[in-house]
Parts: sequence; structure tokens; C-alpha cells
Amino acid sequence: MSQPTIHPLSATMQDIVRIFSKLDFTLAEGPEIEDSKHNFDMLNVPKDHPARDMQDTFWLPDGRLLRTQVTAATARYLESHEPPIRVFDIGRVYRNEATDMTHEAQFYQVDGFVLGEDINLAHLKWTLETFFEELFNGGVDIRFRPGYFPFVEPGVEVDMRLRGENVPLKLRNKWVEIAGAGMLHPQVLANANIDPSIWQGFAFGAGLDRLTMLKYEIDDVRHYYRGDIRFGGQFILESK
Amino acid sequence: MKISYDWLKEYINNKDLPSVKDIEERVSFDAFEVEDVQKVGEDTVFDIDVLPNRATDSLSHIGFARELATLYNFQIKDDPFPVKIDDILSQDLPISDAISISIEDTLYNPFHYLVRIKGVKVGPSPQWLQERLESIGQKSINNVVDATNYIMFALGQPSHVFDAGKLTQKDGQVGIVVRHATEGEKVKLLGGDEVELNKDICVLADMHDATKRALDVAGVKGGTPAELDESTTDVVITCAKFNPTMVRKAAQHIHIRTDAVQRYENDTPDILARVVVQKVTSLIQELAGGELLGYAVFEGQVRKNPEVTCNLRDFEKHTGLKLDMNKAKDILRRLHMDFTCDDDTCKIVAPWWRDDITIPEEVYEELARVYGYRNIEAQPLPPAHTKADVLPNFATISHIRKVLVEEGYFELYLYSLVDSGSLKMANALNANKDYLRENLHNGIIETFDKNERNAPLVGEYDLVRVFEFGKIFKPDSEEWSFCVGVRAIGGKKKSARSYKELMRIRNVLQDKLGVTLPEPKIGNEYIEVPLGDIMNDDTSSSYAFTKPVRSGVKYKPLITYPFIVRDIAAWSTNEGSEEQMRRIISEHGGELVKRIDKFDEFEKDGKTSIALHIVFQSDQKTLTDEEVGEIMSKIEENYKKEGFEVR
Repeated sequence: MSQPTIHPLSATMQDIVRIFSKLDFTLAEGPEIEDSKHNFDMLNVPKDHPARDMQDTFWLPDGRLLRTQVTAATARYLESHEPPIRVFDIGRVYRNEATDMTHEAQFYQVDGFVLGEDINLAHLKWTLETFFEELFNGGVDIRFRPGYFPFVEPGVEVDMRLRGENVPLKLRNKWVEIAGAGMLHPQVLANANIDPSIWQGFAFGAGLDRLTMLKYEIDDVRHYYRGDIRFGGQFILESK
Repeated sequence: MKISYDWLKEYINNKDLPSVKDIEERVSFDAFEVEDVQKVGEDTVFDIDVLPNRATDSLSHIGFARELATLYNFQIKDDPFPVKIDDILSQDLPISDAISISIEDTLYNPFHYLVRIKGVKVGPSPQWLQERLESIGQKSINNVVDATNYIMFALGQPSHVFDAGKLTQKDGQVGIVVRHATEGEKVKLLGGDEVELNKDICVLADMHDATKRALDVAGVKGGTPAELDESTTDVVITCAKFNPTMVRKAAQHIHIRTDAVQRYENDTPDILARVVVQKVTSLIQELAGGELLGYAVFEGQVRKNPEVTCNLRDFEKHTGLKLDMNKAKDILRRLHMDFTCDDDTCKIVAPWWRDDITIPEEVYEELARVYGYRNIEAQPLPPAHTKADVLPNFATISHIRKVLVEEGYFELYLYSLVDSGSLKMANALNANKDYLRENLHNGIIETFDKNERNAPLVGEYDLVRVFEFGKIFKPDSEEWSFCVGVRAIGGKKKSARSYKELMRIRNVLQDKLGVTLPEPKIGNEYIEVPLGDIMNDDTSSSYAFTKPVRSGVKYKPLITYPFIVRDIAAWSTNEGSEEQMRRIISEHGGELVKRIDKFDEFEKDGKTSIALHIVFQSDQKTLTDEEVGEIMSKIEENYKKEGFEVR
């Protein structure tokens, strides 16, 4: 019998659950078949708006869709819970686009958000530094660049730079785009019946498949879903 | 959006213009994503990703130049945009009877300017204009058409020109009526496509023509009826604002997407058409001559930006950045914001070309990025108010995964979209993957053959054992499912062997987790069950984690060449023999030995028999039996030298 191995997506999910549970984030989930309300409307992406072009959507004939972002689960959590809130979601999302080495029609995202009385971008920076430091087992620098996502304002693109021996050579000391983030848009809060004049906070999201790709130097995301035990069989667990 | 460095000199004085490298860096950090930088002849062209929130003001060279002016704090050269709307409106446009306009749907088309010029000479564009257009990937057509394209990429507002000679005259007057199309009305567009419209789409039509024939699909593309050619001497320029949603829908319906559509659907500022029509008019006259007869104008109520109240304390609370009032005012000034401030609060009105600034948070974003996000210092999260809840589904999955992984099972993640099921996608790109899966076992069974063949490469010789957790879908439901699958490798009695293992793992899960799986059906190589059916309080209330992945483990590309397995068994009388045997094998097989797995060990008459599988595989080619045979001979020889009795 071979040694215990783990699928790398599960390894990353475990890491994420462990890291965020330690920071007292609650794990939430939402359905993969979503409605426009949670996937778009509540997230400030109105119908007939160019922002809907930013993602290619799988539509069902009855008007439902396969969620394009796990932030749809965030929308559900916001509308059914009272602040202060500290939550992360992990889940499968879908994009109706051609596949290649770095793109598949399905993949996993991790999303997180913190809502409180004065939570801001400085807390976001710390949270992301902590997350990536632990996930990649190295020193981390984080920087923000202007970005746009309809459900945050200000919106930022997040780059990280990893330092240390445990970090893959390809990543070491290089800036890599790693996440999107920002302050939850007051309209998104209002849509969830949360008063934006009292509560504020950040949200961030990253592609889990990509994080895993970077960590283990996987060259093609399609390996994840081919069901080939030669792939998962490479990721041997520590024995002690 | 392609931006030419040379073209920027139209709006930026040489002394203020940063270097290409500088722009690339600075813009990436403080404004937009720079996707590419290319040398085009003597010029350099940036490919900028302008996101929806800045598509109104920055899909143009003036917009990009203005962004640089903000970041580097200089003034735009000969600014083509007056800051105050009232200044623009107070500049009279000479109205003429020679041209007339009528708008049927002012919601679709709230602002429209027509200009008639007589006596133009249509011909090739001057060198500078051809170069400018070509640098950003646009084709030069003729001086008049090029003028409209040039202005669109310069100032962000589309316009179009008709040949007035091809329009129906009434007492020397030509006119344009903007009307809804009739359902199914066809229009032939420039470039040859004929499109079929619906009644929601508007067209620009020949006012004095009996049939009011269509000349142009409003906001999308011009048609052939009034197309310019070298004999054109009399032109009508049209420059308008169209409703963003209606143009977007029109373009989607006829499957035509143009640079004009991209700008209209992002909601051009109300007053921009009025500013731009005058620029287009003077440029056409400069390039093609002609006498300006005058304008026809339809103008609705110009939307003015709202007053937004911002507060420095609030800014700090939102961004974690501290700005003093002087610095804040400096940034607001650079952005041409109209503001009145006291000690810490400002009432701000954004300039008309920035209609994305309507709430305080949008001002905070401008202040933060111009000041620099690099100035944010990380701040630890305050202690949480409550302990985190555990998610029962994930908790249960984690417990079962841990047990199975420790038993040597392999976890699979397979596709949700497959070739059959009860829920079909309306628009899947891949026709073979357009149904949502109704179960997990179909996908798992499909992987068995290949995994059975390759099993020795992962050290499995008897059974392929896999599992998956995933969502399955029926028209009215979506649920978590769990499936464990076992395929017996080669040999006889496959289904009996699978069954035996499935029953065994069932017991393991029962003993360790109190999880009761249903019995596998005879002949099935799997057990599948809804996760909700097997969860219990213990599995749902905490997370279980496997040991981490071994440090330094990295993905290695899968080898496409076939492998060969050879067995070797030998008696030994010493301790540590297995290690020696493995060493001999590695030494003589080298890189071709991919695995050594012990499959048998027993004692008899004071001797120990150790049996090993050896998996041979080359990274470069298909190994032959002879090559492997040679290596095996050497191994056996060396076994004998060490005193191992090969069986």
C-alpha cells in the first residue's frame, strides 16, 4: 500500500480552514446553482451593465445560473446575519469560457469578509499578510493597486511577494497578483439591510486553484479535475 | 484601450511628460492595469485595461493624459474640456435651416447635434493622422472618416458623418429623424453586414424620405445608404448621447460590437457630445475644407454631478490612511473637483467628465490611490466578538477524508458538467459538457480503466481505491454527495474483490466515525450516499485535518511513456536486508526506477523472504523488455553478491 496522499486542492482547503479558524472566521457556504439576485443584483452588478461582461456566465433555461463567484454566498450570509461578522467561504464556481492551462470552466474560490464598526484597509492588509504567510510558509509583502469590483469601493488588486527558503524558486521575491479586495460597497450592505453608516468592512477573494498552482508549481489547472491518481498520488503526507 | 505615447503630447507639455517606463510603473500602481507596452516605429503604445468604473472618462487619450496629470501634478496642455458645464452651454452654436433634427424617443437619445458642411474635399488623410490611427491599430479610411475616429480615441465621444448628397432634400434642407426601427427592419451596415433589427432599437433615418429609410443603427454603427465616397462634397456630422442600456441591448441583439458601443454603454457624460461636435467640425474643415452652414440641436436637461460630503476622519476610518486637509485639497484640485472645506469636512462636486463619483467612498478611493495605497500600514484585526461556528458539511467531509486518506485512498475532484443529466445549460460553450451531473459514481467509474492501468505508478497493485465529495444536481435540488469507489486490479474475481474492500471500508468508517454507509449493490464498484444521510453530531462539530503535505513536495509533470513492472523476491538471513536490496535496485536502475514497493515478507526456517515490485519508466522514451531485462540481470547478480538467494 502506498503512503497517504492528499489531493492538492484539499490540502489548500485544509490550510485555509485552519488559518482562518484560528482568526475566528466562521466558514460559510452557498449553493452552486444561484439566482441573479445573489450572484449579481445584491453585489451591485445591475442587469444590462457592462460589469456583467467581466465574467462569462453559465445560464440555465429557467433564469438561474451557475455561480460565477463565491461572493454570492457572501451576499446570502450578509442578508441573514447581523454584524459584527467575520466569515470566509470556499466553494466551486463556474465560468463559461474556453479552457487552457490556466483556465477551467470550474474552479474553487475562497472569499472572506469582516464587518465591524471601524474595520478598514489597514486590517485587510494585515489579514492578507497573515493568510499568505501561513499558506506559503514564508515572509510576505503585500501591496495594493487600484482595482474594480462592483461590490467594493475602494477596490484593490492585491499583489504578494514571498520571501524564504520554503517558497518555490519561481515565486521567491517576485510580485504576483494574488487576490482582489476592497471595502464592501455601501450599496451591498444596504441591499442586505445592513446600515452602512454604522457598519463597514473589507472583503477579499482569491482563486484557490491558482494559490495551489503557485504553492506546488503545478503547470496546468486541468490536472485537478481529470481524476488521474498519478496526479494526486504525488502529494505525499508527512509521516510523523 | 491602446494609448500612443506620442499622441499624449497633444495634451501634455514635453517638460511634464514622464518617460515610458515611469508611466508604465506609476499607472500600474495608482491608476490602471498596463497589460502590454509595445514599440511601434518611433512611438510606444500602451495597452491599458480600463475597467468599467473608469470607462466613461478613460477610454480616450485625454482621459489617460488627465490621469497622468493627476498623478504627477501638472496641468493639461490646451485642455479641450472646459471645467464648467455652464461655460460650455453659454457658447452659442450657429443654428441653420439647412439641417434639421427630430428625436422620437428622448430616453434613447437625450442629446443630439447635427452639423452641415458644404464643399468638402474627401481624400487621403495627412501623414500625421494616418500614423496616429495606425499606431493604435486603426485603419485610415479618408480624411473625413478619420477625423471622427481620431476624435473618438482622443476625447472619448463617437461621432459619424453622412453624405448629405445622398439624403432627400426639401427646399434645400436635409434632416435626420431618430426613430424606433420596425420589428424585422433590415439595415445594411458599413463593411457589408446586413442586420435585422427589433422595435426596441433606434435608427437615424432620412427625415425627408417618404419611407424614412434607416441610415445608421443609433449608437452602434453607420449604414451604407448615406456612406461617404470620393465624390462626396456635402456632409452631415452627427454627434450624440445615447442611452447606455438601450445601446448595449441593441448591440447584443445584432451581434455587433464597436468602439462606439463600448463608449456609449458606459454612459458618456451628457455634455460631452456638445464639446466634441465642435472639435470634429473644426478638424474636418481643417483637413477637408468646406463651408460651415450650421447646426441643428436637440438637448435635454444636462445631468450635473451631485454634491458629495466627505470627512477626513471618515476617510481615515475607511482606508487606514491619514491625510491632512492641505494634502486632501491638493489632490481634489488635481482632479478638478469643485470643493468647499472647513477643518475636516469637504463638500465636493466632481467635474462633469467623472460621473462615477457619486458617493463619499468613491472620493475616498480617489484620495487613497493618488496619495498612494503603499502608505497603508497593516493593522491587526481586533479580537473577534464570538468564537467561529463550525460548518457541518465541511466538518463531516474533513473527518471522512482524513480516515480514507490514512487508509491509502485517493481523493478525486471531477467535473460538474458532463454529457448527460436532467439539468441542461442554456448556453454551454462545450456541447459535451452541458448537463449538470446527477451523481458522482458515473464520473468515478469513467476514471477506473486508466487508473487501473497506472496503479503501479502510485504503488497500488491490488486495488484502485478512490473517493469524491461533490454536489449533485436535480431540477429541484442540489445536494452534497459522497462516493467511494473500488476497482480490483487485473486478475480474477474482480467484483468479489471490490465488494470485499467496500465492505471493509464501510466497517472502518463505522468504527472510527460512527458513519454508516449503505451496503454496495452486488456488482457495483462503488457506494454513493447523500452526505446529509451519514452526518452525525461527532462528524459535524469539529474539523479534522490530515497531516500536512511533506515539506518540499512539488508537482512533477506526468510521464507519457509506458512503464514496466518486474518483481524480485529473495531469501535473506540478515537484518536490514530490505534496505540493501532497495539500494542495489536503485544503483543499477538509476533514474529508470520510479518505485520500489514491497508486496510480501515472511519467515521460514530462519530465513526471511522479501518480495519487491519494481516499476521501470523512462522520461525520454518507451523502455523495451530487453533493456529492463538487462537491468534485472545486474540486480540479480548483485543480490547474489550480497548473499541474497533469488527465488
